[in-house]
Amino acid sequence: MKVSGEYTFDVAPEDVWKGLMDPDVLAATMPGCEKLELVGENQYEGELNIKVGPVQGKFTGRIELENINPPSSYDMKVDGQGAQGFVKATAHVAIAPNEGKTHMTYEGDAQIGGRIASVGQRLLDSSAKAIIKQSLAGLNGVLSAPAEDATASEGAAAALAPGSAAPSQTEFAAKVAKEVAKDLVPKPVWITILALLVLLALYFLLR
Amino acid sequence: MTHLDDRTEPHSPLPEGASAQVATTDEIRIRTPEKVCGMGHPMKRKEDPRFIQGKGRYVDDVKLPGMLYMDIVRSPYAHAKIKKIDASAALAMDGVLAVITGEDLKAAGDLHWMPTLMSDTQMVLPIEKVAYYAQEICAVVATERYIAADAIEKVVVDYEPLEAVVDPHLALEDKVIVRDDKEKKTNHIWHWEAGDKAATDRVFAEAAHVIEQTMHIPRIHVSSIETCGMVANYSKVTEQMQIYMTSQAPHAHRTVFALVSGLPEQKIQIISPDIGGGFGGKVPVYPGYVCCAVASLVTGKPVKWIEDRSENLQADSFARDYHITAEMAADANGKITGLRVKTLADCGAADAAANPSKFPAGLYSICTGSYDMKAAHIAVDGVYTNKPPGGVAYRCSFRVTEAVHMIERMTDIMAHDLGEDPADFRLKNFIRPDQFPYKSPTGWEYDSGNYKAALDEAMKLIDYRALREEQAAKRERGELMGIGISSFTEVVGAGPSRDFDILGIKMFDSAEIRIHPTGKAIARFGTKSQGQGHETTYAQIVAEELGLPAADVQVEEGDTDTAPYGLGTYASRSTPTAGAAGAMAARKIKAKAKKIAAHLLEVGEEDLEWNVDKFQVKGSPDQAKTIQEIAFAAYTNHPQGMEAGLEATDYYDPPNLTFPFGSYICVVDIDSGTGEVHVRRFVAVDDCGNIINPLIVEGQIHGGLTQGLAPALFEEIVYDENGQNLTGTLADYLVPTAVESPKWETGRTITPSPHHPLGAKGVGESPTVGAPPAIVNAVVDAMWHLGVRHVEIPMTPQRIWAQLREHGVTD
Repeated sequence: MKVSGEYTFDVAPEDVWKGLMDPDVLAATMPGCEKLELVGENQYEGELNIKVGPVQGKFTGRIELENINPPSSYDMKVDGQGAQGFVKATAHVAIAPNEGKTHMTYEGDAQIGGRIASVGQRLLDSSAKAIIKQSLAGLNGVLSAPAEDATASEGAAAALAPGSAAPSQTEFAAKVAKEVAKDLVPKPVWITILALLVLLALYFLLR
Repeated sequence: MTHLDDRTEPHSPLPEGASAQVATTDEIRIRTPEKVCGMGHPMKRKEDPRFIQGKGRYVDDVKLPGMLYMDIVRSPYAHAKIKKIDASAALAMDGVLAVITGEDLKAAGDLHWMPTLMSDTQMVLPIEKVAYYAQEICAVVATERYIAADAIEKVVVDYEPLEAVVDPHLALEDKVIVRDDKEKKTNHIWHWEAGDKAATDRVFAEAAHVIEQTMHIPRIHVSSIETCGMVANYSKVTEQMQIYMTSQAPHAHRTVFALVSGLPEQKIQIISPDIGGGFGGKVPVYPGYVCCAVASLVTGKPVKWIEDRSENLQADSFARDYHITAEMAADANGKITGLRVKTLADCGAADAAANPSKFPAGLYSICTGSYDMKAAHIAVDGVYTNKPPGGVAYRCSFRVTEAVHMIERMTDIMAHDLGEDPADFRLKNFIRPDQFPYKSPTGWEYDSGNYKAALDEAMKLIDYRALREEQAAKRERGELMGIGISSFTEVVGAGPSRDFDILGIKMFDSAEIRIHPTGKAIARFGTKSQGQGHETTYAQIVAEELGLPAADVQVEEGDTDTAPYGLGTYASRSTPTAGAAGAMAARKIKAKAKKIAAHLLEVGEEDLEWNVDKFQVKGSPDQAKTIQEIAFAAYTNHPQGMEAGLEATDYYDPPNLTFPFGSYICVVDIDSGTGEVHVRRFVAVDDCGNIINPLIVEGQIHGGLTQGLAPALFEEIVYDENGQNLTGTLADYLVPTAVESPKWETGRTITPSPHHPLGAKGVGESPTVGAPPAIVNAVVDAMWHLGVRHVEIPMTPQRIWAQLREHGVTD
């Protein structure tokens, strides 16, 4: 599965970089993240609770950062497994200043296997996008929290101080549904209606 | 009324005319009054009251005191080394009693491997590596179903992923070896040929027209409503193993269990209760069954294992998966002269195909179909890949579905290429009625057939010529409408013992009938109904032969302690084999009944004649004894010197296979914007020989047509390049329901089998076999003028839309 996208942070690249390199901040902003620890130079180990459609499970894994060029880019290798399957991914992340803010681009390639892939296949793409966007929005919320009113920003739901609870499953489900709907926006009106129905169904199924 | 007298002798030689042409009619033969309800009566199914009230008893309904539950840890990788299995966290859970691994099975007597039906070997639980996604790794036994399900998530397996080979063409390069347990380090399993290669090459060299087409019959799944399961109940006191199992072939499974486990066969009882659909998927022995039986052996307690839906879809035997390259030759007059076929059979990680031993590609060589041609040659190669093993004959007599798809597609392409109407082209090339019994170029002897009659009937029912006019008018307006024909020949009823066995056991089948003193009967068979309606059909066969009302005949199957030995129900073999055994056993009873009647009436046997349900004195019909009176006498007043009782057993070894056939015509409209195929009409004319119960035949055809629509338009098991299954739920693997199904219109012709005691041929699989190419032919017919020669199945909107875009119809 290919994943790519971009995001704009409200703070300067140096601050974004600091956040990206801080496992405590990342753990607090990533939905479902229960643990993220530095275990060696640029090596992290963590536990992530992932829910894709009807499949839910804990993944434990290792993240390795390579080719680190502070404060502009790095490569990431993820290797995780759990009772519901496995994830093997590589990604390239780059950030650059943009009118006082920070523009991030990311692209990655993930191989996902096991139940999470066979049963949750149709929701995998949207779930991955939702996890990434929610994490980034959360990070942005944390980084910009002292500067502005947290409740007003888009990442409000996830703008939590380090150590507090990650977004609930219901909030996450709503995000997934939003991603599904976004993918369908250019299609005719009836498909949008269908997407809304999917969103509703997901909300009730997963809350 | 002496018409049945020619049938009173058991195992009499073939009826006269067996080698001559058989007449075709459209009248169902009825010889008994409605109260007897013998052959031809549309009797309502005796089993339905319990099914429609939800009172059927399936394996999952079996609850035994102290029963334990098993669940299975499965591999997330298609190919990986197993470095370590750590079950300590699972074993520490309250209620978890045991975790069974491959090492445990090995220690228990090399039970970690088992034979497949094709005499290959298959892992029960792996020790060194896994070879397919969702492969069984270990089994957890717990006091409750939910504890077992939670515990499998606590088992930590350390894998070292290996490169997987998914495409059978790449597998032939042997860069990744699926089965390194084998001496020969290759993925090539077997090579098999049929027909005359030299003669076929000559025909092709002389041909005026030659066409070639590749096609893939994709991997699909039977997806029966009931998944597979077992309750194994071993008693350490009596040393008896009682097994409730979703089995289409309980006797064969008992023998396999005895051979593999070393338990004495008399101590094993297999009970196959009601089954919620089999379709071939409940013929193989799966690793889960072995684990469940071992779990009961180890604990001495009953253990239940029921697959969930995803396990069933992902790990049980698949069907089809043939990659075909076919060539057809025709002469200058548009007469088909030859067929040359090369095929790659993707077997997955073990050749676990449910085929008779002598036929690694099943009955695929029936692929010359309904057409008379000079020569044919077929070569098939079996290949291992990192996918689950198989394949089963999904509602199909051992690969005849693949064969029919190929020949019906090739015939249609040839007709279109020659600019001939596909119906007229078929009528010109059919084997003629006067050619039966027909020896096919690949060695089959077709028993009887009248292909023209069936196609004529289908064309009449659908008004074929008018449809062609409508199509021409629509084409003028740019609308896409297609008409597709499939005139298939089936080959069922395996089979004659000279050629047919599974693991050495000959493919006879059996019946045992006992008439009780009050004139009621119990009839037991070696087959096993999974929805086919045997309790009704077999009762009607006994009623036909003995005049006992079908309502008075209790039919029983599926308990190996009581039923006579048989090879089970699949490949449309029940009526051709066990049904014939039922008729033969009834005739043995009738022969004895005649002696008793002669004794009671104090006349010679030669003075008696049979009349529906009684023996009467010739010329004096008032002097008669009914079968009920005779039955009573058999226990109360039988002739001195004769054994008491009235019962008989027959093991029927069919002299030949039977060859049902039919012609299906399908009309489709294609939405040129979305690529969606709408099946507007579908007419199915089936000829399955003499009909025992027209209502059941009709039901079989409706169900089979829907299961033929499925692979044509919807179903395919999809893997990614790493061997990961992408269709693990019924949300991803689309099984059609009434919503997706068109209105099925049916018709019939009747051309009896000359060698079957009742003239019947079997019908369960004809529609599944015949329907897919009719639909594909219709879709291609709708787009032929655009330059489309072939469309692979399933013909999803995406696939059709891509074709339409390629040919400039849509953007």
